[in-house]
Amino acid sequence: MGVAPASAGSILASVGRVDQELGAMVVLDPKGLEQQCEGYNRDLPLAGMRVAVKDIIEVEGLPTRCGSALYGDPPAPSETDAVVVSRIRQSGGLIIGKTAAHELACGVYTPGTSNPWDPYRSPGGSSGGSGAAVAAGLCDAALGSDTGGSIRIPASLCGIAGLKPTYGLVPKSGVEPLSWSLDHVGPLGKTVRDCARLLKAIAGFHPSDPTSVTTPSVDYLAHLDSGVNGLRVAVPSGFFMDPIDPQTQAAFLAAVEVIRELGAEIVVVDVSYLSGSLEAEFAIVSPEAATYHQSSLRGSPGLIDPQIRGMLLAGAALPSSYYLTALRWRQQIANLMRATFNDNRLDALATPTVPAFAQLHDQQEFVYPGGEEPVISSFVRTTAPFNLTGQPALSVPCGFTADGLPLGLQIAGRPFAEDMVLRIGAAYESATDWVAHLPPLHVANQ
Amino acid sequence: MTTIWDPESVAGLLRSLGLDAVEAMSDDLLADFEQRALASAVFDSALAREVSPCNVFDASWE
Repeated sequence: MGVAPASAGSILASVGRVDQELGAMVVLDPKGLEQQCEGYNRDLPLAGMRVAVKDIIEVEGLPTRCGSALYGDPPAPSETDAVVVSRIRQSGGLIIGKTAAHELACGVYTPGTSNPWDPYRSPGGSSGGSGAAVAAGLCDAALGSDTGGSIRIPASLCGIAGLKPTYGLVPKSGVEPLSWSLDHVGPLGKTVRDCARLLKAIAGFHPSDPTSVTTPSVDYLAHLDSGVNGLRVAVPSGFFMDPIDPQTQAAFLAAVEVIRELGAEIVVVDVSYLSGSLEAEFAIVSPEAATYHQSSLRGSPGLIDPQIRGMLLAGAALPSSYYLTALRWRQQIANLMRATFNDNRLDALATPTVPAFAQLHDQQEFVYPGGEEPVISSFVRTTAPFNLTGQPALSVPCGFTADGLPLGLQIAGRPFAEDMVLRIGAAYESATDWVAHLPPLHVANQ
Repeated sequence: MTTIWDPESVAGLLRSLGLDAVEAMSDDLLADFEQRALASAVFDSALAREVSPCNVFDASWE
């Protein structure tokens, strides 16, 4: 099943050469990797798969920094693996090290990490190191977390696949929280199949996470090649395109046409009820994050980036009625989304993952034909709705701008229907050749 | 609804929460408070009366 690994030294040497320019990895694990290579078992489902782990997730023997000075310099190494890391090892995956994250997993830039397609641009965030590492071939797949788009944004900007699973499907024990009720852990991979393989290894109930749910075991690889013939896939009449970059919109519409040609029925739906998602997202993230970080806010506020600190302060001090009102709004859009799926007998909703492409490292706004919008608002506007509803949402590459920057297609499904969104993503991926393109900064080019 | 968010009241509120180590109120922080207050008011006016806060740990549609 798997490919016998080269020595730990040779795996990490190629990583190190490329990562000098990329800055995707914050720590490598030569000792742990050596042990894993020695224990290689070709019969395990992830045998030989090189996996990098976002640096908010515990890996035994390695420090966890969360992109923040709050965690010490250097932080103490973790004594145990997070549940998801343990499951990857048990499945034969090789943990190569940890990837850069935007500070406290709260941002869409991941400073210090470059986009493999253009070093002057960001890989996105907050799982930017994971996105860049996969795109540059430093690993086969990576773990990320997604509170308002932090898996799907880097996947889209770096030209790879990334899945935010249904809330509760993947246990979060051993993962630093940002927002308990919106955090998700999931896979990023070069291909949809890589994501499906990794999801199969990490999904499933674990008693150590009170938000983990019991669901029937699903083989996410079983229906990957079943195609989309006869499926009903919706596209939104607005919201996700208000505003949008014209090249991104053209790529999205072309992707929908491919899915139609593959045999799916395309239905147009009104999801204008999602307006307000951005405000609701921040009204929930801010107080939850402020509560988790309140001792740091009191004792070491100077160690927190001023912008993030402002968000935390707002979350700490705003009336609880604002939080509860946002939770009511969240329930309302979940009800309306369920009705959209049921009334239209939908299998999935397809949207642009984000309305634009990778921003320059210091770029703060996108300028669209319809007006300007802050970068973070642009990205979170189109990804956060599915954090609020908890539905699974996959990003797959769907083309490039004229300047060669990747664009992403988002496919959202019914709760716990990861097999369906992966199936549609795989069908689209197979019908196009986007996945064959490699960025200039890639191990194959060294 | 948004008039309470002047620099003095925000600073006083933060101090009362033990968050007095932060720097002086910035325009950005005040704008953040204003924006969230406004959003909450808009949500409140658009919500159906019967909608309760969601169970934040249940994403199923059952």
